[in-house]
Amino acid sequence: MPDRSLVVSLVVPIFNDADVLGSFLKRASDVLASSYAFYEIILVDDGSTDGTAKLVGSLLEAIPRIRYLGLTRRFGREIAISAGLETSIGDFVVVAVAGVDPIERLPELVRRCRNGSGVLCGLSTIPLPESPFSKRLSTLFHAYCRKALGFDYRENATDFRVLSRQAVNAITRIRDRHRYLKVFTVTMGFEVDFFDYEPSTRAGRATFSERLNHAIEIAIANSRHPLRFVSRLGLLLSGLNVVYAGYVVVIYLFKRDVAEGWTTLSLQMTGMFFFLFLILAVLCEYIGRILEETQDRPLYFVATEKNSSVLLENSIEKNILNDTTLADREWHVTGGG
Amino acid sequence: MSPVTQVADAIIIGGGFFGAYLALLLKARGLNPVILEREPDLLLRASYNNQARVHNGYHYPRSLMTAVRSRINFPRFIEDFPDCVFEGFEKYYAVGRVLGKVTAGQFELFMQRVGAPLTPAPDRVRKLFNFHLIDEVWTAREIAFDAGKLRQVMRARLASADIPIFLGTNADRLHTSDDTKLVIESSGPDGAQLWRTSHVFNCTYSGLNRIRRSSGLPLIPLKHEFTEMALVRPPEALAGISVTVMCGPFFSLMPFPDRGLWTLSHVRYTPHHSWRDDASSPDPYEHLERTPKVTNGPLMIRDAARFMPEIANCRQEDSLWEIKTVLPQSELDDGRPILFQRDSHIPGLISIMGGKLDNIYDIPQELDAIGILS
Repeated sequence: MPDRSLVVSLVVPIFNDADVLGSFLKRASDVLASSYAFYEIILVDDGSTDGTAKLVGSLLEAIPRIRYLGLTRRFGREIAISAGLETSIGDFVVVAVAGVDPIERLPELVRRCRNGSGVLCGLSTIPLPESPFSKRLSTLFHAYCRKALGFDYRENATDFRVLSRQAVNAITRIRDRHRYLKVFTVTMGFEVDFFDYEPSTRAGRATFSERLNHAIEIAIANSRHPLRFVSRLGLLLSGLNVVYAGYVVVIYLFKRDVAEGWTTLSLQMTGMFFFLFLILAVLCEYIGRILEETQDRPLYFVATEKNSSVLLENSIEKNILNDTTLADREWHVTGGG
Repeated sequence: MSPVTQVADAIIIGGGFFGAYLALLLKARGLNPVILEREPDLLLRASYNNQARVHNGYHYPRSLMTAVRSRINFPRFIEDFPDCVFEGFEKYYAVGRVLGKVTAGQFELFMQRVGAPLTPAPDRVRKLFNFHLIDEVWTAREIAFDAGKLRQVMRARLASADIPIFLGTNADRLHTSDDTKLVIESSGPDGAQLWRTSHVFNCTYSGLNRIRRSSGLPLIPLKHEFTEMALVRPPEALAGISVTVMCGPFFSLMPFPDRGLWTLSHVRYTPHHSWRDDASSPDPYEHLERTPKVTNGPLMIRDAARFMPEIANCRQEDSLWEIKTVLPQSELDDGRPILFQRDSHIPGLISIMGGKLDNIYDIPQELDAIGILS
């Protein structure tokens, strides 16, 4: 007996997923229809170029309760999920990736989320192939997040998750341009539950430099810790500099032959400039962020919204038609004000 | 025993608002019309099961003509049916941010052009909206009508005009006789009857093609929608506040005076499914009766609550189910024009379909055009 007490939304970000989309939606629809009286499936097309839009056209006729949101171009999966979350109406919203996440587990996960804290995140049990060096760095970064930045950003976190309405409302208020939903969900302050599962495939991870960029952005977007760290370092070095200056003065007062101070002077100069520029670099990161946020552009632009087999209401027009055959559209307008 | 043949100047099939009003217009022009209504009373179908809104132009921010026309017909309706007008509410129009087809600026400018009054909504009302999703909110002037009172008024007017009404009577078939008169076969509580007449006005809205199908006439291309409006009781915080969010997949909360409740309709969830009328398509009324009514109310409430959180506290008590019929053109030009079509095979047969009540004031000119003069 389908549950009538709650509405469940399923958000599926898609990008060139035409090969797996049909069977995934069929399974998702079966699971949802057998468990819930009220649900919706929101497809957010992140600018697919493989004919997904055309495929969706036929899927809308075959599978009920789908809403298709076509973004105008590729904005990235994080933005696509954000668009889906923002338009979702469910009391619980499930995010799942087509062809990867085991959608059959949805009812069980929604139940867990309902009985738990309201945020339930998936953890992949499949380890990723990577070099010992990058593995070590990654572990260090996640430890840094936990210890210094104060949030539990799990290494193997995926996009498969269940969010309560309250959590969705909180996330959609965050208007950051750099969106790391995996991070938002754990930094919002809600208590987070995790569940392990085995994705059917796992796309190869990003390259080392991309991951480094992500790490820097995550660290900067979520904490002032790095800035605090370099400003402290700067203070320390300034202190050392004062001591060094004292040392130079003492040498000047008590030594006779001080004409050749070239080595120490240039050492001091290079040292100072090095740290000065380091500090400037960090400041620039923040200033860049402030600039982007103050531009306040919409996060995404939606090109279309289509619904399962029903057509949008057309507003009424006053015209009088004298014939409705499409062949000869010879209708005249009465009045006209 | 063959049925008795009766004679009438004009037969009106369908005693909805359009059919009933048309009967009064014809009577005033010296004809003696007869109304055949399939239901047990007048104004029971689409004239009753709708938003009960008297349009004042706000609904058409993309169609200047329609908006202007609504502005002209608005005071006429109020003057014509003062007892049916329901004004006990405040009307607010809002424009949505994402997926909207108009912006706040365009809406404001447009209403200025057509002279529809629009002032910024007071703060106590603005507080009810989520401005992440809503661009702007205005106070507007719009009224609702009481569908039950409208039925009483029309019944009384038809009685004083001495127009015969046959309730529970279905117009089964239509054909022409040798002397170019039209003959209608009907069945009802009085048994089978034959009607000889020179004019037949088909005012059956969704049922426009029923008699055409049974009489072997070509079908009018129509699109039917199986629609639901949730009947809700709004919370105290929304008492007397009616809201329409334009212009995309949004919603409208309007009073429905006859039931003492409010209708919540949603562009995405009100139409459950739709189909084109063709030889194989189901009869709309039978389809409405047969199809299990699984409400979309919780979906409407949840989506509307994103824009106006208080709507989450609306209690759904019932739903209004009806077939809404539109002409295929309206999908192209985003209008819902009314149809006034003289049949090309049988000139005495006129098909009329109105999109909204006040379109009735466009009908007299059409009667002039076909030679039924006052």
